[in-house]
Amino acid sequence: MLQVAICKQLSHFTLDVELTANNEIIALAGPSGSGKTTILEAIAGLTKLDEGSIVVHHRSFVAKGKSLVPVQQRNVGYVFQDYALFPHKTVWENIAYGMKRTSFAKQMMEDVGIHHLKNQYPHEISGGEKQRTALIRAFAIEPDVLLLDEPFAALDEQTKTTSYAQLLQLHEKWQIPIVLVSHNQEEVKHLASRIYMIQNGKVYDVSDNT
Amino acid sequence: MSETNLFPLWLSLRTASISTVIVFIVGIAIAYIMARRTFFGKNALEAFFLLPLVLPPTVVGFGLLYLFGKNGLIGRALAYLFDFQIVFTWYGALIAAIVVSFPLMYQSATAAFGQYDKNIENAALTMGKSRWHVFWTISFPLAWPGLLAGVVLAFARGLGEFGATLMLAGYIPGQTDTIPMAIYFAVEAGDMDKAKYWVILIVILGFAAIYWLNWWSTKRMMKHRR
Repeated sequence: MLQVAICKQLSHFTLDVELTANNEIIALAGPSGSGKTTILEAIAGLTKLDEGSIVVHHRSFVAKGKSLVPVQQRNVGYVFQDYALFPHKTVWENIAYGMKRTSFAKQMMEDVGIHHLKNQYPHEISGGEKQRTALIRAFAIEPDVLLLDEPFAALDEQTKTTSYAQLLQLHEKWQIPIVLVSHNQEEVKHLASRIYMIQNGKVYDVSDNT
Repeated sequence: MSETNLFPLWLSLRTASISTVIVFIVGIAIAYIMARRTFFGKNALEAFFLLPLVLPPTVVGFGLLYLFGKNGLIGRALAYLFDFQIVFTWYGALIAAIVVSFPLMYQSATAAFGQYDKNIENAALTMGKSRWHVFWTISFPLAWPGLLAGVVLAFARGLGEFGATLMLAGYIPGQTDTIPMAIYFAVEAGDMDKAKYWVILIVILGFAAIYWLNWWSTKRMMKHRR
């Protein structure tokens, strides 16, 4: 379970949010610059907070705004908006970088159909393949929570549909909280069991309104 | 040519190589920190690092003489503690080469560490790797083309250093005469053949160094680039 209650002063407003996720996919929606990525960074341990707490499966990452667990020890999978693949490493080297079990990683690569790309470099593969590589790379660390920052934004409609199904499949196997940042209303309705809207630094549960 | 006549080549190579290694390590360490930290006075500190780039070499030489000379702050301390003298020794040539080539390495390294997406490093950190591991496996290889440019520039600058070296190390044949110094004093003495010899040699040396580093870089480190 993921419990977030954080406060951080941003350049134009104060981000003051509370949200929880069981082993489900929750979506964070809201306009650009509303602080969605900052929330993901706070959970991952990539940004400092002014106040608040973050707890994952009864393990306290942050208490009273102070980080208790460094980013390397949080075991949080993170798919960045532009995937942030290592351009000088092959698909396999990207996935193997932080993986816990080779067999598990290879199985997931086969499940999403990127095993044949293992020796390719990121600049040699398509956008959809990059997205799947980034997703499997994040899953390969066998995370306690997964953060997805607009992972489908750059994909065409057909690739999106396939990617949605693959994410749902992986989630079904790997029951962990997943936080999905997305602008796409159809996407969040299709994937998320709960939807939070961020506006003026506050977060609202709008699951019932959509 | 006799053995003594080759001394400028040996001294120039030794000075440029050692100074390049030193500015490579120090330049990368400082540039990496500066590219990722924001603190009060950062701009002023950066301007100070780059100062030798815009100052005339004689001004740099004067400053070094002021610091490392017999009555200088560091010079006096070294003489008192270790009975060691910098001025009029090849160490003077080395220090001059370090100071003038550092800004080139620093500038190249800062640009190199700033040119790729910071989230690439963040992604590696979320995968449980230490910052040291991430630096060597992600940051360093990604910055390598820019760092290499810094190495080439720093080496070339160290090899060609003249003004500050003359002021700090002086011209003592067989002790502090680097190739640029040998060229200048050969021309002064009207020995144009000797000057020509060193000019041709330093051009070949500079060209070969840049050519080899580029070839090596293309072959070893840039295979992932289109």
